[in-house]
Amino acid sequence: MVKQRGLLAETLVGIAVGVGIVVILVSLWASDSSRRAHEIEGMLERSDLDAATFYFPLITVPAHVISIVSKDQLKQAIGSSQVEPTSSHALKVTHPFSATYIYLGFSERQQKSALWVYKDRFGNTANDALLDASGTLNLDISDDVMCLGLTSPQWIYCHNRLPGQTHEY
Amino acid sequence: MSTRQGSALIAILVVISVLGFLWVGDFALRLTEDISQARVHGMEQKHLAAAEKEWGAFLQATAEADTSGMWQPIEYVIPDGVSERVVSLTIAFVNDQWIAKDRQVVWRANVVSH
Repeated sequence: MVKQRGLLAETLVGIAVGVGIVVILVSLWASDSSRRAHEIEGMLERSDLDAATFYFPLITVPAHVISIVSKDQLKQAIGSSQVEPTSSHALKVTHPFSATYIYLGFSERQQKSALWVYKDRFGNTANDALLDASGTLNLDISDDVMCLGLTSPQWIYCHNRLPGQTHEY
Repeated sequence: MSTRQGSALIAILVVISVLGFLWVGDFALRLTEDISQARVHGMEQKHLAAAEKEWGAFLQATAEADTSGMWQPIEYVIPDGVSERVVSLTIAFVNDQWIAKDRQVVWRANVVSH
């Protein structure tokens, strides 16, 4: 009888210790997975910005004219579009026979505010969301340098004027 | 070793293996991020260096160009990291300064043999 009670007590203690370990492991795992999810979200955001860092030289290096246009000028250029511009101004990058506009906006499909790229090449147009971005679009342009900045996510891209290019502001 | 000591050892091993698994996952995540950040930073530096090299090549081309005021084509090749950009321009020396127009850029991949 005494031996049976002893075994029962030992089993209960074993189960309690096991449950305790499982609870500790689960809580460790849960806290780590939420932190990791947060970090992965940040990594994805940075990955979008890295892609933009690789993309922007492709449009700024061959450009003839880099300028800033107002929201009204942008709306006139993109015409009737499902994308609603929200930034007060846009960056216009002019190439031979084509123009590219970069601005903040949203559409019915992409309701989250994003950085949009509108391209008009030989009359063929495309309007694509480059990355999720809210806040404001800061455009700082001088004779030698053009800087495009986002406030959310915080990001800045600068381009130094190259031979044969004109900065208009 | 008694049964109780064996169970405690297994429990400690389970905890250590879970912590180790989490640490390795975390380490891989950070390592990947560091590599991608270094790559982007390197790309930005190469882009800046290419801009400087391009101005250097432009100045060299204008130093050797005709200053009669006629429009003349120039071309130079600038390495900018994994590729090289071939830039062609038309320049003229007007009113004691060089004017450049008709900028065209073509990227050409560097041929690498292994």
